[in-house]
Amino acid sequence: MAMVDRLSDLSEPILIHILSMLPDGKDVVRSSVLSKRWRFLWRSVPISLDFSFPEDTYLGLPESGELEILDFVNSTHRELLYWGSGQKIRKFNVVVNFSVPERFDKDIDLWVYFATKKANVEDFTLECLSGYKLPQFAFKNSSMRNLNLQYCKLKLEPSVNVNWSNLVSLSVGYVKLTERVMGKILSGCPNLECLLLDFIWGFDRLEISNVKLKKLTINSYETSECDVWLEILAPHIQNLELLGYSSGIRLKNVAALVTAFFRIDFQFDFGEADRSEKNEISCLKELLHSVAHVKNLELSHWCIKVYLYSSLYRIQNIFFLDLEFLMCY
Amino acid sequence: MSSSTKFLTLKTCDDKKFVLDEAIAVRSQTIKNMVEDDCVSNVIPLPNVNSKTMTKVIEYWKKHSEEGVSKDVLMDFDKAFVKVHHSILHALILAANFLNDKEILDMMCQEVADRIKGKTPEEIRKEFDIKNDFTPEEEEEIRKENAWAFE
Repeated sequence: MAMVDRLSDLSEPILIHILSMLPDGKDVVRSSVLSKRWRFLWRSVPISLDFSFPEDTYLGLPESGELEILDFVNSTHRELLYWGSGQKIRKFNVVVNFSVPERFDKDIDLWVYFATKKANVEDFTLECLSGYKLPQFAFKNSSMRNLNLQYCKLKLEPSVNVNWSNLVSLSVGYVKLTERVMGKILSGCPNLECLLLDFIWGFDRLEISNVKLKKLTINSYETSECDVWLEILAPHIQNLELLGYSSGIRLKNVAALVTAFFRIDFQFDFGEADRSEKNEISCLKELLHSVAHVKNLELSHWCIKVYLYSSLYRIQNIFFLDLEFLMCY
Repeated sequence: MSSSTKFLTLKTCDDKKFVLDEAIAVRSQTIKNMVEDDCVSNVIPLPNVNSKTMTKVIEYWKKHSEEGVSKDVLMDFDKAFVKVHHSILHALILAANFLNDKEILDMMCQEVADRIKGKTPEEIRKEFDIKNDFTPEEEEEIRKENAWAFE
């Protein structure tokens, strides 16, 4: 069989589709030298940029040397400079898993600037273990659809309002949030559909009036005092997930809820074991009462165990849950 | 299956006919649209697909329509399915594109991408028989322009 270059015969959209499946941007650019057919194709490929440091490691490794950090910072700068020229950036991930000396914050500022102002990134993840403070300019952006911020301090100056006009999905994790900041964020995201709060603390009232926001997930919420419970008012939410070990949560208004998924384990242990267990049970009971109207309820083993234990003599009570679907884990 | 099972006849460009359960054939969006718009007569012509390629496509459709087939079995099937010479990959991409079957199209494009991934331009040219039509000077120029990617 004669050697025929069939690949290059494929239509341009298909070749671009193929190139867009390459995980490394360098592979995409290198295709430019294959032949004249491939010369400029790479420029139309929406690419994903992923900068992680250190790569493939876990927490607790010896601190990275200053030189290695510098290398990482410089090569990231170079690459972003390269991509700055009008290329479509679909995804931009920055994961900095080392304790960055503060003087590198200015460098991270530049990457956030790239993501939020320069490159029109749709999907941005920033994970900075050292507790980097998100710059004020980042709170205004209209290109992002998905935003994921982990370990980043979210502080707003009084005069600054949030405007993430096209944001659809927001994940925030491992950070203290005040009610004021949370409120400003929510009112600045008119198109938000999905909110994930992961290991958060600092506020005890969450009011969500966003009409489009249908899905709320809270994983491991923590209050500072055992008697304070998080109050949730979210009349438009349809899907609620409560996960992980958590302080008390009370649902004040979840009128539109259709599906509730509780894989939660309340931990109110502040030294008085007896009292805390009582509180845990009453918190769970109240939670179940407030979702009695939902269509689907999924409960973790812990929830069922605690509930049954507490109603040992009145087990028929569980029938107050008029459910079409009950799943147990 | 119920007695109402409908069959369609597909005719490839080399005049081979394939009789296929309509429920399976509509995995192709193109065929589905034709059925829905009622423009199916006795035989559906597939002018861009040859019988060898269509046999592969139907093999895929049937496997993925089997009742009760496990995810693991499908994964193994898919893995073996894409391990073909690039000329067949190419034919399947064209067929999937014409039939508008995104699942097969994406799987095949992913396989091509996997074969490109991490290779030098020389290795990619060899793998896919791509003829380098640049002069050495031109190629050097492009490499310099995008030096960062060739580090």
